[in-house]
Amino acid sequence: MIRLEHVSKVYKTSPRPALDNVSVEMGKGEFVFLIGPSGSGKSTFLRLLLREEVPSKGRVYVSNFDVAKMSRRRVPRLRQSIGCVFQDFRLLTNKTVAENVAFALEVIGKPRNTIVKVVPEVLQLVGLDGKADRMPHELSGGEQQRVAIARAFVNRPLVLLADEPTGNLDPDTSQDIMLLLERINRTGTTVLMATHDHSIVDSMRRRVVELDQGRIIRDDARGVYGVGR
Amino acid sequence: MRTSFVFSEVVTGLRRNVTMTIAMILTTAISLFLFGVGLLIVLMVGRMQDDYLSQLEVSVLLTSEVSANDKDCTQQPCAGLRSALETTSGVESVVYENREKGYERFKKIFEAQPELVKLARPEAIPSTFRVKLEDPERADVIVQAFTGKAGVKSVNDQGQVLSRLSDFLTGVRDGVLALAVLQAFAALLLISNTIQLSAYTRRTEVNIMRLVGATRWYTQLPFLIEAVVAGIIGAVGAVGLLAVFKLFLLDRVLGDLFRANIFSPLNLLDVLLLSPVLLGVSVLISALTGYVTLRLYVRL
Repeated sequence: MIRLEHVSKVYKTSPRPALDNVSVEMGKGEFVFLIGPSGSGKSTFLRLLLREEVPSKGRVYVSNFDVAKMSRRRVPRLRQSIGCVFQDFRLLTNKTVAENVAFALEVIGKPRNTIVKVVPEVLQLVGLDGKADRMPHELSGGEQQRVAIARAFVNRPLVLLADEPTGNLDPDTSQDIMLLLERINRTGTTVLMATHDHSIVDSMRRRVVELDQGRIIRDDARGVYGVGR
Repeated sequence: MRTSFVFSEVVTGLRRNVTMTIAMILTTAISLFLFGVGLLIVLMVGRMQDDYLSQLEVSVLLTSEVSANDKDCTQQPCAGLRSALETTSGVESVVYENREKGYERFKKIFEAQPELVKLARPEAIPSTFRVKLEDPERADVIVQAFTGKAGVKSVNDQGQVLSRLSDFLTGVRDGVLALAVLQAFAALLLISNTIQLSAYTRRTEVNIMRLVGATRWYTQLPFLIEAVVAGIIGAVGAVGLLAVFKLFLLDRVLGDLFRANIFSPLNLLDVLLLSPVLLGVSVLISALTGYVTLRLYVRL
């Protein structure tokens, strides 16, 4: 589902590469933690998959997209098959919960009757039924992240990228969010989550890919956060 | 493409930067108005030349000696001058108007000012050859050939008066068009600036749109339409300004000249006929500016 082949990324602003000859493969339906200290290349990794960046060297594949080589015109198609969740939720503050989720479908031109049908379904899936008409500021942090996940998942992406999704949440709420991500993973969606959260990684016992200074230094099938520290 | 979505985005965008939007509309309107004034002057000059060119004459005024003694132009030098004029190439017709006829005409022209007519004596009016040319712009030939000949007092080319008038109008037109270009440049920068601002204030939306895979068109269209809508409002404003300009300024200042047929009159229909031109120019420029701005400055 995701494959990187000898990928390096050098930014003009820094002599040290953000990613240094990284090769890794993640299969369909996998749940993978991407860990490592700040500046280890996690964000660059995610940005390459979304084609926010192109690699300086190497090839990137997501599903059957040759991400680094594809024309700009096809980039929207790629992004429609990837869902994204962030630490800061990135909700539209002037729209209700349902409108936030619907927005993701509106802007890719989905017909009205589809939107009306699938938005309540996905809100129920993330446990927000009954809160469709709330504004984001009326919700707790955990609920806001659920809205973001609903928005990321409403178009049934093949891959869900989560960049520190629990970074702003307390431990209990974080656990709830992880359960939700697991549930989404069970529908066959590949989930790639960048995180600093030891306890979550340790309790989930999923595949762990650790980056340090742009290189993969560990790739455990059922890993924990703190090995070798 | 969901039109209701795009439309609501456009309205939000225009409302959010309301001061910039107003500035953008006003500059566009003023620029287009000046452009319109320029076009009206072009129209007026063209029409004036059409109207007058065919009627233009060269007048060969005869000395008072000839005027007094040779009523029917049968003696020399009058008869000689006549045949010389008639045989000059490019001359269409020659009409001899003696002192009495000239005086009649004078009285008729100045009917409205009897005191002027009272003052004038027939003796002051010279006999005249009224020469019509096939090409009125080649009046120089007659002026040069006949000035200073025996019996000729002077040669007047009406075309010169007209060309002085149209030179003046052409100058005004060039000045107005230059101003229009300057204003258009300001409008252009404002449009570009407003779009950048608009994209910046909506960066969260735009970022989300990019992430969920909205196409470039979908993301950019609201901004483009914003610019075009402002352009359209600007053009409508410009047409309004032109109508006001025509009714309250042009008609008041030049009204007498229009009525006296010295200037070819402009009517509201002319302004109306200009409006699609202004609208088209406005839409084209704002859309183009918007498109280029989005390409160059805004990462969508």
